[in-house]
Amino acid sequence: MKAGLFEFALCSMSGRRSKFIFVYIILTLLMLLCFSVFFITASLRAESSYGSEAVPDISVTMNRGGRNELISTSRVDDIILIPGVQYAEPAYFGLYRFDYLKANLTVVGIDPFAQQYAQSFEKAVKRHKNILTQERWMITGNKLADTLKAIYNRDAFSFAKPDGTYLELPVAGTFSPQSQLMSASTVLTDVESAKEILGIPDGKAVQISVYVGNPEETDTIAQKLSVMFPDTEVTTKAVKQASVSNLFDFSSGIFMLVFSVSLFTFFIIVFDRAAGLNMEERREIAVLKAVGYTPSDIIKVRFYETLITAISSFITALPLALFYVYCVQAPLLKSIFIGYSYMRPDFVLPFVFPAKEIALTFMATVPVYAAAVIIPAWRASVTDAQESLR
Amino acid sequence: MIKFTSVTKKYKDVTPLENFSMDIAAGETAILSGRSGSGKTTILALAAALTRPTSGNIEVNSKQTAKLPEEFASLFRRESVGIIFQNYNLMPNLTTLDNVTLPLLPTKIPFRQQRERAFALMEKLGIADKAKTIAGRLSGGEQQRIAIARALINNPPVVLADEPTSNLDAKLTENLLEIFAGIKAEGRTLLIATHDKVVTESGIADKIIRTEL
Repeated sequence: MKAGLFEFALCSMSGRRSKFIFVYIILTLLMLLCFSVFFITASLRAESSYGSEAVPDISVTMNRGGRNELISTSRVDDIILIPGVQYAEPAYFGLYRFDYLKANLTVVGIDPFAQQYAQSFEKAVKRHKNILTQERWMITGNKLADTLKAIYNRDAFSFAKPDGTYLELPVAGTFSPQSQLMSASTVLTDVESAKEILGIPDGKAVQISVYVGNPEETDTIAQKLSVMFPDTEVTTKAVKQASVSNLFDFSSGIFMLVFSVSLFTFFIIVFDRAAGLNMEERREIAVLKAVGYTPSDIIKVRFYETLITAISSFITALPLALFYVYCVQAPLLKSIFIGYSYMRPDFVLPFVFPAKEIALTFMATVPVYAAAVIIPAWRASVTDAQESLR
Repeated sequence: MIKFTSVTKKYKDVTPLENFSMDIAAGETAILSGRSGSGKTTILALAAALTRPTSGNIEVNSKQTAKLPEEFASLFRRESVGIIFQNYNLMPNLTTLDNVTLPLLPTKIPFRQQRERAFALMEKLGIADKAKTIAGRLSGGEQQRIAIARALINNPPVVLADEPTSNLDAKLTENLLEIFAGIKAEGRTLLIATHDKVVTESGIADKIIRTEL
């Protein structure tokens, strides 16, 4: 880089301050919007992936006429006999309307001694020493535990059962999931309590969770299950995880992003095309040529101008987006992206830095802007200078 | 030296120069004289390779310039030609010093050395005290001297001046002629396009070339 040309680019920009400030503001807004959208989607994707990790290899649910119905637990006995199935068990979970927070809590009934929970339960759950001796208990995410403590000032919570009676469960412990949403809305209980709270009769379950020894056999076993139980819907973990990625209205988010990028880029191109070829700029390029600047020198000057503007915008937009998304929790945009899950309690977006997408945004916007500046300058630099000076 | 052989320049609907020839030896000072529209500015532009002739041959400082590609034409100007425009063509938003240094910026001369050379030249022309002033805020005479300093900063063997006195009063014209005498004394080839009789009759020219259509 020639320091002289770089300094000239700076001086030249200060001379056309208002134009560059306008472009800087537009480019900063464009990057701010893109970065914010990427931070939110990366956050939500991370948030949803935490939950999908706990999904069984295969889920068998009862679906009739598009309605999800309870499945008979007796089917576990048939499923367990399929070669390759390591473990199968009925699952009890559902949503419990918590009016105070105007949100739904996810109630999950678990057997802490069950094969899939035994190891992780010890690590994840804090202060649960009495759990083995209690018949009824509940464990909450630590954020929900704090909320309940703040509201009721006691280590117990009364659930309203579908028949109108109440079931009081002592808070036997808390857990700290990576997921903020889980932390704020998940309640683990013993199986019997979950069934009572969610109104699941004996002999029925929400789904049958199937665990497979060899992951490569998952699809084959899923096919067998579909044949064995044609009245059920059999979903593999891979399919469920794929659908989870759509949970936060990704498609509409990406549409908005593409739309915004196109709109703003178009705006910048139009502005620069219109402003870049005015008489004054053509005269300036002609003068530079007259004093010995080659077309490549002129392109370098314009490139430095572009670079200075783009990097300034990047340096401004990135911290602003971080502040907007992670400090003030992206007002407006967050609710657009969360979409359907408005019934869930408010949660803090976990910090994720999608470096690839950030770099991609920079690479997608800056060359377009640079081309819009450099191409007219190049055209002016190879045309007859005398024409512009006359 | 500047040599034009049967040069014609046509624009879309105008032909400012037709079958024009001239020969100015190295170190000579020549005046292009003629009324407005007689092609003086076009001759200077052709000599500086700012535009190409429609036909004919041009040789400046032992270089054939008529068909030089843009990149080489710019390098030729950087090395061989200094131009003083009628309306100065300064960068009005840059300081005086930045304007004078402008031709040196793309060269390999260290930045500090560029500044020192520009400052020395400005001192010689009596405008050193305006180094930090924005060019657009200076008077016509001051701008004229900045334009001269900018034209000389690359130490070119050929200097071209287009109507240099058109915006100057008698006193400033006298100063300018002194500066031109200095340029001539340095052994540079000087070509001045003017219709100002004061310049024509000043005795500075070794040769007067009439450009009548």
